[in-house]
Amino acid sequence: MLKKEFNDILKLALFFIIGILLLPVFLMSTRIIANQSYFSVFFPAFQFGLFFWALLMGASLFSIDRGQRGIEYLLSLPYSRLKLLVLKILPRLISVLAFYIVFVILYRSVGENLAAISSVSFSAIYISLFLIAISLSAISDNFVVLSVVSLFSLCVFFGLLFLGSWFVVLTKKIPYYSLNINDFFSGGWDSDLTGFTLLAALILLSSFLMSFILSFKKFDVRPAKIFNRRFFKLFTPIFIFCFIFSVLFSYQGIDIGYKSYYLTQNHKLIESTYYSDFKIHDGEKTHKIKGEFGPIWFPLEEDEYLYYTFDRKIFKLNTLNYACDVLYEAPPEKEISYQFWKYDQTITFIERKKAKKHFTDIQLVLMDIPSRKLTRIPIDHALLKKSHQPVIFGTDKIEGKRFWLIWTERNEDNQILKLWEDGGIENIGKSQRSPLYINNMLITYTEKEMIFSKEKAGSYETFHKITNRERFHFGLGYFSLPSNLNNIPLKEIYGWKKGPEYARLNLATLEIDEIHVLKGHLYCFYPGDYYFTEIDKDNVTTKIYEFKEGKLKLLKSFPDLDPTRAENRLSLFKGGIIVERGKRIKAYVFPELIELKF
Amino acid sequence: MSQKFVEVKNVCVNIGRKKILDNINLELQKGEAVLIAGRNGAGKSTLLKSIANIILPDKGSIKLSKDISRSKIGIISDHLSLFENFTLKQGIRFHTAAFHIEDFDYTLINELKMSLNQKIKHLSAGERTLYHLSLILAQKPEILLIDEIIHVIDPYLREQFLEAVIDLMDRCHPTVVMVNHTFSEIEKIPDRVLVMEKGQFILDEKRETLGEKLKKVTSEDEIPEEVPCVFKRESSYFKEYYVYPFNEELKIKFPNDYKSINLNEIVKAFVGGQYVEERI
Repeated sequence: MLKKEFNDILKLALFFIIGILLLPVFLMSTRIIANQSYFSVFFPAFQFGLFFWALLMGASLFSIDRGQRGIEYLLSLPYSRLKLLVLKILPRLISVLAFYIVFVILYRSVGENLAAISSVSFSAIYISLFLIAISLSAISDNFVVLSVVSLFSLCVFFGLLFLGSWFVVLTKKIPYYSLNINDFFSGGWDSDLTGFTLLAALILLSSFLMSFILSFKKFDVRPAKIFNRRFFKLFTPIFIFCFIFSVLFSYQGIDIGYKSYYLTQNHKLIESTYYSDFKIHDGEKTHKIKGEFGPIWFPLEEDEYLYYTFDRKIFKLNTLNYACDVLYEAPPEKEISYQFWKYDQTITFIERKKAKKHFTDIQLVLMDIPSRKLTRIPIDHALLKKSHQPVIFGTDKIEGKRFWLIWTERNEDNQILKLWEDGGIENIGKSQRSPLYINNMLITYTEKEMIFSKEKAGSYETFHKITNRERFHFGLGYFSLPSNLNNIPLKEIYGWKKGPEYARLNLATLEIDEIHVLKGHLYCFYPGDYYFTEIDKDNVTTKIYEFKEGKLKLLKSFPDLDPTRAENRLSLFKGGIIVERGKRIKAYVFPELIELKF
Repeated sequence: MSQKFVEVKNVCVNIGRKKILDNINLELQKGEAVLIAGRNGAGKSTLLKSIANIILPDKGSIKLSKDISRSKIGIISDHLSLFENFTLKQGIRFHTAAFHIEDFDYTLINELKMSLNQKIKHLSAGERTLYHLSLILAQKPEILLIDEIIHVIDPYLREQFLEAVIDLMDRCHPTVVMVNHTFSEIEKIPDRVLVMEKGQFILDEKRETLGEKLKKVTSEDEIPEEVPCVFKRESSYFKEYYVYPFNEELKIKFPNDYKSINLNEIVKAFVGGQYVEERI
């Protein structure tokens, strides 16, 4: 029996392989697709062909025997229904897995850039389609009907899966952008959401399989509607149960990984999740602050105050007396930039309204903190309407008139805009990577050069260039995003490039004068604190260094810590570091990296 | 002492709302040859397929004797279901492997000069029946189920088919259950005759006693209502009465010319009786 099934599958596989190999030849020879290499046509065709293969393998479970009028004979064989099922499914499963392995090998070697869809979504659709088609294989005698029903069920299946995810997102009030839901389609195997979505999918898929296996115990030659009644009688409650279970599972699961920690510069550990209270550990006690707070990303710290934005609100947290105020809340139809700017007693941020394809009603908002008085400067510029996330990277005054420098990040031209407080707006050039404004200098990047400019008579004039260091990326602030309190003169900044190499830019000589070849990550905190984490995977050790005046100083070594492992995380802050090993959290504070007890 | 081979207990099989087998009970003994007759749609084939595990009962159970393994049940159904794309050789190889058969007897295949390399789908109905039978015979079945197949093949092949079955019965004494609509050629085979109607048995008699219990009376006049009659047929000149159950007392009390009839007529009487009953 097994041999017969393997022979049937091998014959089909042979036709499939020939077909999929010849399809690109046909498409290219008929000029339907022109000017492309064979493999660039083959690989997407192979990917979609595999969907057909998964469908064929599932839906043909009995249709081959039915086509040969052999179903009665098949059931008269001396096998139990379960054994029959195993004998039928096993060769199909092996073929589906074998083609999947071929796909993975091709994808990893040459196909990643040629793939029609990401490996995550391909894997999910491929396996789901096979299992759904298998589960529905006995509900009709007709292969076409089975294929249509299987594809329809696949759509419903994914629809419900995402409905479940959205239910979790809505009930937990998790912002869309923080979930990276697109990872599922664009490819992030390492995303928490991908993992939980796939596990929730397996739970939901199990309802199809369980119903099929249980109803197949009574499968016979009677008309399909007899089987269907039994199948759907089992399927309905099992599916509802599995759907609820998968939603609950997602509800529990999506929480994991989103508990975030932040260490302030005065050594307070803040624990936060979405729309929940803050827990602040000061080394002796834990203080709870009631409110609907969220993770602290891109904060701005000045003395004991911590400013940060979350869900249209700007919070001001006093880390000494633990009072927390909402400085500003944007209207529901608007969003505010996650990155903001502070000078003197004024906070500056961008507020805008999201339309279908672009942004409207873009304003630079200035808030006087003591009075909370708002000044709004409309920014009506086409580049900002398109820009994914405009970045304020500098502010200064010329002849008593304040201006802000805004980089239109991710916009195709990467333009730099200069916005005056009277609403005037100028385009002052572009930068391939995030520009800097330090010591009254504008530092921009082209493909090959690093350009230093200064304001002169209303325009920026280049006074210095560095070539052959074009790949170095110098930054300020957390994740290289500048968060400026005031324009403090700096002596040096550090940058990195792939390799990895780390370099110091001497701001007095404007030369790159120290280069280190290191394995690890650079962290920079304005104004002028630079740290480096070296990860030695072979010896499973992580070392924390400080960069100062071109020299590296080892601060602490963490044996048995590999932060690249999924369960571990190492986060650096201006006040110290946080080490997460699974659910064990430890905080160490600068300068000696002494453990903070909490 | 007879040995219970198959026990069908309170079996119900439905197709949609229609009851095909309605709480049916049956015991089959080792070596017994049983003929099942009945109208189309009475549930005969469904019963055979249920015994062969092709149809699974909705209620009730079908128990086989502990001595029988499922590989010792052979069924030749009216569909002659086989994997049609196989060649004869592949079909034999598959069947012998699935049923753990060591020796295969090619006599029937050779007698009909069938090529082993031709595909099963290219065989005629008669050839296919004989080919199927040779597969089943190779199993040395202890239960042989033959479903409405004899009348579809030509007289020569039918003779060959029956000879092979009788030979098997002589050698191996299997329990044979046959479903058929014509009985002249198999009249002497069954030990027991069952007639089914609407998923139930309306007759279950030993072949020898059935001839004594069912008599035909041909008369120009009506026979008294006290005479039990399963079927009455009228023409312009005479009337035929099928009396069941007949006994000698009946003959004394209501003298008539009670004639013995053959199996074909016996079954026809019961089946015809059901049609008449339905019309009334």
